Amino acid sequence: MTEKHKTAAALLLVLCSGCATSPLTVQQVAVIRNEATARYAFVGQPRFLVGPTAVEVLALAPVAAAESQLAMSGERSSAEHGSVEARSAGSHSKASGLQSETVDKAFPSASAEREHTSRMEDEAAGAESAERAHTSHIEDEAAGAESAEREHASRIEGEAADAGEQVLLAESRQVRTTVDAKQTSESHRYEIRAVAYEPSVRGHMVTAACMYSYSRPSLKKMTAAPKVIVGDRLDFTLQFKNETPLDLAAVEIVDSMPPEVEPLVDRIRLSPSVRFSTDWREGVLVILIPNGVSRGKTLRIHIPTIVREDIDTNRID
Amino acid sequence: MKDKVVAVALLVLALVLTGCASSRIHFVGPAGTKLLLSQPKKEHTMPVLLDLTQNESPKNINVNTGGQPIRMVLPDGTPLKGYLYVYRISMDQVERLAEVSFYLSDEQTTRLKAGTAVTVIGYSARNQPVYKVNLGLERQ
Repeated sequence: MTEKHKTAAALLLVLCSGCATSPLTVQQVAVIRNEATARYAFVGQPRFLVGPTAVEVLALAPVAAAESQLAMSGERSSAEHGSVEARSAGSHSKASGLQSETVDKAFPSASAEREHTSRMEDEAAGAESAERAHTSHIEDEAAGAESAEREHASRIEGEAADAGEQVLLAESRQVRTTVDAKQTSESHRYEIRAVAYEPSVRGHMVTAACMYSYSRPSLKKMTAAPKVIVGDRLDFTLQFKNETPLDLAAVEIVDSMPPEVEPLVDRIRLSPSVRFSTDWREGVLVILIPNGVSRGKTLRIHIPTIVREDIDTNRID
Repeated sequence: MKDKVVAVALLVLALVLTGCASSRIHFVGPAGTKLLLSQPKKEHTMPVLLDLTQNESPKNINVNTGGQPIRMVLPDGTPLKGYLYVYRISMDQVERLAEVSFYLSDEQTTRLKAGTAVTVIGYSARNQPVYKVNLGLERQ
């Protein structure tokens, strides 16, 4: 084997083994709760409230190596403790089995008595089942008689119903002919009857029906992921849907940002792209859409944020 | 040439005589409500019976585009704005006799004042959509 071959083999070995990295151990440091509301109006300044809508994200932080080792050793010790407990439980069961055996050996009369009782119980159960079979046989006979009677009755009823149907058909035909006659001769009366009939069917105060429905815009807040590592980017998306059949003149979205995140105000983006203005003051982000949202349209607002690394861990819920 | 002119004249006459189909809607109340229609631009006070030109397809009843702008002022001075759709339907004698009406109850006015949009659809006696009114609060 030449030097070249040796180097190639070593390289292949390294490539095959890959780069081994230790898994990242993280722990929950905070719960980021973000809440948003919206205001809208059909004309003028936004005044009617929608929401609030909230979303929760778990903030995770990498655990230091020593802490993770401690945690791992703690887990191992607890696992060992568990196995010891399981072992002791097994021995206890074995011991209980032995105990029962020893009891049987110590008191043979008791075991004989138990056997006798079980035999007696079996005999009683046998007698009961025989009785049940006899009763069911009698019941079957009775049921057979009943079903025959029922069949006879239904046949009679069916015949009667046929006769009734025929009568009804005849009646309906008669009515139809009368209505036709009225339509031709006294059409006005027929119409009035029909109009008078409609309200009772629809149950409304007027002859023709009137249906009402109500709608309001909706607001929904979403995140890209339920968990985030401190220092990473966290994107929030607000979905404002104008479910009303009218255009909204102006919309204002108020997003109370938690102290754990810092919004990238310059990177806020709306889709579809519309004119908007932002105001970031004292942890509250206000997005104003001065031209409003047309009827039936949905507006998505993407708010990118960065999770602060200096999170107050006392805020864990 | 003369025949052609006569034919065109007859066609125009037929179109004029046919006219545009209209639906009669009884705007009942709340009594004293002012109703301002854009076509024809005229103010009415409820209760009023109006013959409105049919200009929308009933197939688009679930579509909220187009429509004729409409304004109302309730008796307490609450201004409302919205759209009116009158559907192209052919009504028989029964439907014409059964009066199609528009009415806003106390519940609807309360909801309107709270910022909810209210949709009212009037159906004929044969369950055909005659009109649709979408309303919202203008300002207060």
